[in-house]
Amino acid sequence: MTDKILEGGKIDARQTLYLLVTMIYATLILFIPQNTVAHAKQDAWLSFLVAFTGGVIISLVVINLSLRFPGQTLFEYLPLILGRFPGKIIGFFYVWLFIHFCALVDREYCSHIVAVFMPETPGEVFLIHGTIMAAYIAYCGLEVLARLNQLFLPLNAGLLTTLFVLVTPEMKVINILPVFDTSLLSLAKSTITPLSWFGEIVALAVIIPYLAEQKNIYHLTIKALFFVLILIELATIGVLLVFSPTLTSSYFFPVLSGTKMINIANFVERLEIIPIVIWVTSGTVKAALFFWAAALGSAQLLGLKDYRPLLLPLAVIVTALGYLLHPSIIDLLNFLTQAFPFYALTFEFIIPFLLLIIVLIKGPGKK
Amino acid sequence: MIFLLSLVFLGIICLEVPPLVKNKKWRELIAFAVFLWLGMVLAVPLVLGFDFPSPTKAIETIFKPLANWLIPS
Repeated sequence: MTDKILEGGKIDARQTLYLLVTMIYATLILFIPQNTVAHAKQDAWLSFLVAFTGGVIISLVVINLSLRFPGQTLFEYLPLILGRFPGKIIGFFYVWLFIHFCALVDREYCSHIVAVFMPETPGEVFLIHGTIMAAYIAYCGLEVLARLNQLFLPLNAGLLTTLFVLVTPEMKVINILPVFDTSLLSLAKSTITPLSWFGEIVALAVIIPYLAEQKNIYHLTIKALFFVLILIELATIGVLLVFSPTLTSSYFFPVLSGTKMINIANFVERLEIIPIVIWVTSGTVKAALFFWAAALGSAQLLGLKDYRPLLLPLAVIVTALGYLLHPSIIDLLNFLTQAFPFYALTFEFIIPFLLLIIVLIKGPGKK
Repeated sequence: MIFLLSLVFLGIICLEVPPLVKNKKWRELIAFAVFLWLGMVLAVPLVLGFDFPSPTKAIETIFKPLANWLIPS
């Protein structure tokens, strides 16, 4: 395909690890999926464990597929596998997927701030400034994005652990008992939503060619998914122990509500700003990553020499979509926990899996 | 509002088009124009207050049988 260099940046192993962690945990930490807790009740932590296993399988498929086409992104090898025209069409579906993810992240970010902190401010304000930030980071390229994230992620992980420790006085172990009291069917139902969020690892198919060394990529990805699991289990178990499962599933933002419970000696309290710090920083990085992937993807599909001119038009599309997609936060949450998992998993697992089978049968080769 | 939106679009055009024309990147220019047009199609009806169908509805319709299975009872 194109031998011109669209994106010159290279990221090292640690940066990749951090980037993958942020990409997945950002959304999960904001909404611990309501219907996960509604279905699995006190065993919700178990469904994240199952979702983690599923995420590992998805990442194995995506990495195996990508490593068969060294130095090429998903958008470059799709036409090689499926033929020029069908490959480009599927490629544009992926561009749409990344734009949609980006719009969803922006929308979650703006809904969150409007619903909890600034109900009088129009959501568009946050939507627009979130998109502009993401567009600017994407303009600077993958390397800057990765370094920015290297700054934020240790901070966020530390803050989250601190919150968990601070809320321990409010915890009651009875809330998480009896353990393993879920039927297999409810466990399956509860797993699908977190699984589709773990499946966002599919963006790896765009990042892999920009890794400085690709030897340890399997090891690295599984490590990243494991870190996500730890972070998300901290949040879930913390919230489940503080509230009962019933109460947890009725909150929009359980982590935030859990933080409100912190009260140590009537002095350390009202720490709600901390979840906002975590969410705003990680959400921005996540949105910027998908934004970058969408712009790079469309440039590669159209055979352009530079993806940067596409960023501002894409920013307009993302802002409009973020506003248009959902009339309210209830609609957003219903979509995210009901239709979204199947929609996302089609692109995250089914299509890469079929592609891998086609490659295995036909053998990789350009004709 | 529509005035502000036109200003935004004008700003984007002024920012991006001159370098593209100067370097004779015609392919990029066409792609830029198409994406900007898509953005206009989405943004202008919103600002004017028309009811534009949300893509979410289409996705929800396609996956409805599966999605209903996930609704907590």
